[in-house]
Amino acid sequence: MKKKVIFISSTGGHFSELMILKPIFEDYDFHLITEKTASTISLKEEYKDKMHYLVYGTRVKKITYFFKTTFNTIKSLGLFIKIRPKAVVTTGTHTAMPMCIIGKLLGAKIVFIETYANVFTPTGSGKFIYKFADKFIVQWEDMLKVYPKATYLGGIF
Amino acid sequence: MIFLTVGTQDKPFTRIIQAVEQAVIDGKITDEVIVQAGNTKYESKVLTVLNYVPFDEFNNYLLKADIIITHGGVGSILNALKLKKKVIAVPRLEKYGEHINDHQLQVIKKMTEQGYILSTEDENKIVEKIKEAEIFEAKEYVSNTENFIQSFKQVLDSVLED
Repeated sequence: MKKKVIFISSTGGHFSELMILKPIFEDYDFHLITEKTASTISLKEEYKDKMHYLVYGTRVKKITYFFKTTFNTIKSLGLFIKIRPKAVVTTGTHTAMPMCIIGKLLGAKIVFIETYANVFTPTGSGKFIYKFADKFIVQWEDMLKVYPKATYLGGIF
Repeated sequence: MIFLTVGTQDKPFTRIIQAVEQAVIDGKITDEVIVQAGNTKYESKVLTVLNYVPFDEFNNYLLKADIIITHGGVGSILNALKLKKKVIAVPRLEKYGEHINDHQLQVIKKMTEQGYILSTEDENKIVEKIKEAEIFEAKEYVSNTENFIQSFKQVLDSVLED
């Protein structure tokens, strides 16, 4: 029986990295979560009821960001309870934080992949989730200095 | 053909498009220039400016280009390298409101040091960089994707065992 896994990330580059894992999705009872934007909306047709969306939000517009994060947190909780995954896999960033925290609190394993884009410094979400991730993957050897307990797998590209 | 891509984030990256346009107007660039401008609003009489470009079309432009000028987005750079293209990367910088931080400098610095790409932070040096690109012998990028996926699957499966 396939194990339930949520693959989640914010849109853009982090999502591109997550989608490189596409060849292994079918090895799991997988669900895919990202922000709803013009470039991600077509995925619903392909992934149907395995595709879920959070609201797109950026930290620049602080007030709307607060409401969007609150909404996304509630939606993440709802999705987690509905799906009940054994693991949450994410490439970041802060959009995926509520799901990671909820997942950890409710007994799921958290696997975080720090982005290829950060060669020397941690991302905000990486720094935070490193504290409780079950596995933390880095793509550059230099990043082991930043995250000593991480696993180095080389680049995803 | 020169293909200039600035990514799809909501912040504009006008200065590189402006510098390339000026170079065309001054006759310093004679190639056809196509621009994927994303959310950057730009009208030009000498450049072909496209905003939303579907993924397949984007790849076609990458394939047809002789030189690719790109913002420091990892996806853009790596897609171009995988197609064995000559790449000039120009980072989006926080101080110009082009990105939320300066992380684009990191991957650009690393990949320039390793000989995969050319780069400049100064858009006014773009003509110089294009000339350099014409004779640049880039280090070939070897994809690590298959290795990564296999190793990652082992990591994920071990975590699911418990």
